[in-house]
Amino acid sequence: MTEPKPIVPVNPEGLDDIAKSLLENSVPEFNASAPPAGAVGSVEEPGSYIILPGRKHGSYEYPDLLVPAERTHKGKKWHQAKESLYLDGAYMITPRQFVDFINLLRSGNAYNGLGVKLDTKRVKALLDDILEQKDPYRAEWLDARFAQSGKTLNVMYHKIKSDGSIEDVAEPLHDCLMEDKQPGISLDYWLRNANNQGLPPKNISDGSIYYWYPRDKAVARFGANSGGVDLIAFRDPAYSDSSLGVRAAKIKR
Amino acid sequence: MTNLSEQQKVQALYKLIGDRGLYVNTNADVFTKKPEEVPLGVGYKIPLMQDGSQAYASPLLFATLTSLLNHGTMLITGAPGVGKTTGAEFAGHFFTGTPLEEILAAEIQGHPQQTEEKMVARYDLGKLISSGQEVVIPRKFLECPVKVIDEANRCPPDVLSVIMRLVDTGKAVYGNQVLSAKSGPLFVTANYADEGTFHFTPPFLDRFDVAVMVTSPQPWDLSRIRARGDEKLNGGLTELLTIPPEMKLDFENIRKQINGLEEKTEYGIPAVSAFADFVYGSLRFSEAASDSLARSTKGNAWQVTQDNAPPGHFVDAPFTYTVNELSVRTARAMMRYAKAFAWMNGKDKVELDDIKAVLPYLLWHKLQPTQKAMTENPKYANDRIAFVEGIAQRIENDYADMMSNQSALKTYAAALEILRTGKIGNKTLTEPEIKNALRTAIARIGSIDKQWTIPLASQIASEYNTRAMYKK
Repeated sequence: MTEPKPIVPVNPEGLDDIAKSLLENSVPEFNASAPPAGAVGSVEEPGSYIILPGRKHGSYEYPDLLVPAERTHKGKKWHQAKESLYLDGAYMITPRQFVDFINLLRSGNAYNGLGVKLDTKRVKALLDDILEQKDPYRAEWLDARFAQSGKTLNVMYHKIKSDGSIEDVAEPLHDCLMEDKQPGISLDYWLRNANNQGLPPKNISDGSIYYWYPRDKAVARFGANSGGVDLIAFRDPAYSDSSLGVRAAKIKR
Repeated sequence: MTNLSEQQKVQALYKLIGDRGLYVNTNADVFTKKPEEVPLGVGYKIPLMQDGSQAYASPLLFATLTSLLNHGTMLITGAPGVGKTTGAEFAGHFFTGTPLEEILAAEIQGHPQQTEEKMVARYDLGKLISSGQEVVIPRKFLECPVKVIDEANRCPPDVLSVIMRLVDTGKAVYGNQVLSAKSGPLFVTANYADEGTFHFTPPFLDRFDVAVMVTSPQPWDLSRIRARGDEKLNGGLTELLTIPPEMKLDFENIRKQINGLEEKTEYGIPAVSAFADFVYGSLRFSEAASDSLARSTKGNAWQVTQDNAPPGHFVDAPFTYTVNELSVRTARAMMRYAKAFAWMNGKDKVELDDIKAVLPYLLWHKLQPTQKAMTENPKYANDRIAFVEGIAQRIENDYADMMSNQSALKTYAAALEILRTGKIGNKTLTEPEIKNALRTAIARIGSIDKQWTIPLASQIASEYNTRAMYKK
């Protein structure tokens, strides 16, 4: 019997530490009753999270979530951000969840992870942080990757299964606005009429939000600075910026 | 010119063939280092070689390398009259030392009436009639060290199947006798399809280690071709075919040197083989074939293929661009030609650049593009080399992505180290501890949404299962 050997070169420095972490943070056995690894993480400061009630949009649904008030994992490329989140037991919110999150804040009925209703001032600060046309630049990656397959443009994002595990899915892009508008599209109309994948409909009225439609090999991002507020569905996933982060969401238990 | 090394002799012969106007084509398309590309206003790019690198025309380069290997097989395609056959004949002559007359006498011409008897062997009719003895006389084709089959795609499929066996095993059967072909290169030429040609099947194409597309010479090359004289006027090329004594090659020595050439290693792992295996693994996978990783290969996607399957999880991975996968034969040829190329360029170790340079010519005739690939670039229907270059670039990007993910790689290596030693540092682990650590490693690696994680995670499981089997 030959000895196990890597098939690619790996720097052996620090392997013992990694090995110890494998032992110390081992995942439970994968049997029918055990929750899959990485699906749920514990929340140390529930007060810094906002409860996003579970919703169903057509065939897409998700359970109650804890969405952090602050963006983290800044300066990472889209793929790096996804990986880091997974290892932290969290995940990137989808465009649909992002729309629901803003709608929740605008409704004034948002609660933090401790079950305390957010006061008006706090809600306004959160909305301003996301939507206000001002410097510095604030932006966040959203979990939507677009890829052409033959004549179909697919969108890939995660779904949360009934057992709490995460499944990345690819499905054809639903009907949405497929032209750039700079500016722009109406924020109100988008938030009210976003499709099940969180994207603006074709017949959206004009407004101030800069919009770039989904393209092959691109990912989604929302950002704002003094130059404008933008929803970009053709951002290069390899882009990174110190102001660009993610909301590390978790399933509410 | 004395005391030349074998590499210098090969380089000198390569140049001599061009200088004498025997195979002139300055369309350099293989470079030892990626060339600078100067853009033209009309959209094309012109390659300018880097300092200290070499540039070759693929038809003559691969004819050279194929001649130097023991049982090299090369397919040469192109339009009629561009020098496919003569290039192979001249290369065979200069690089094996076989007289051109002998090569020509043994050459098989493809046509619909071609038969096994005319190609492989025949019975000794005198003995058969006089005494009833079935004595088999092999044809010159089998006995010549340089084998050329011209316009092979004009042969019907049953004849091609005889050739297929010969290409694969170096053996042919006639009557009840197994005949061995003399070792040496096999060159097969094929014109592009017309009303008189048959289709080469994928298994047949897979037998060829390498394939080139011969282009017509550049206009400025014609004067050099004319300068060699016109054999239809002056009757022959005898002088031009003379091999200078100082350039005679020592084949046994050359093959030993090529075989003995080592790879550059990183952290004890041969870096070139690692990349070659990554290429193989990247194209092997098929989500359409099965939900079981054990059977999710292109070879098993025989009903629902990469072309008619609904989109899977990985919609943009390299494997989505090919209908088929690479054979083990191809995986072995990759290293063989990378070694020969590195040797010819005087290197003492094979490097990644060597395999990257030869790769498109080892794969283009074997890989079938998917509709997705053809939609992205319809010219791939003509230019399969560009198609493979495009896939190779994607695979290189994935490889770079994997190599930059130190967290995943170290988790993978740590898991294998636990399996190898049963320890972490000085602490000996119990069997449940080993299993827990490996499960965690697999889950961590598997959490990364990349195709390249699948073989890494699968290898850990496979090594664990094998170890567990033999520990019982």
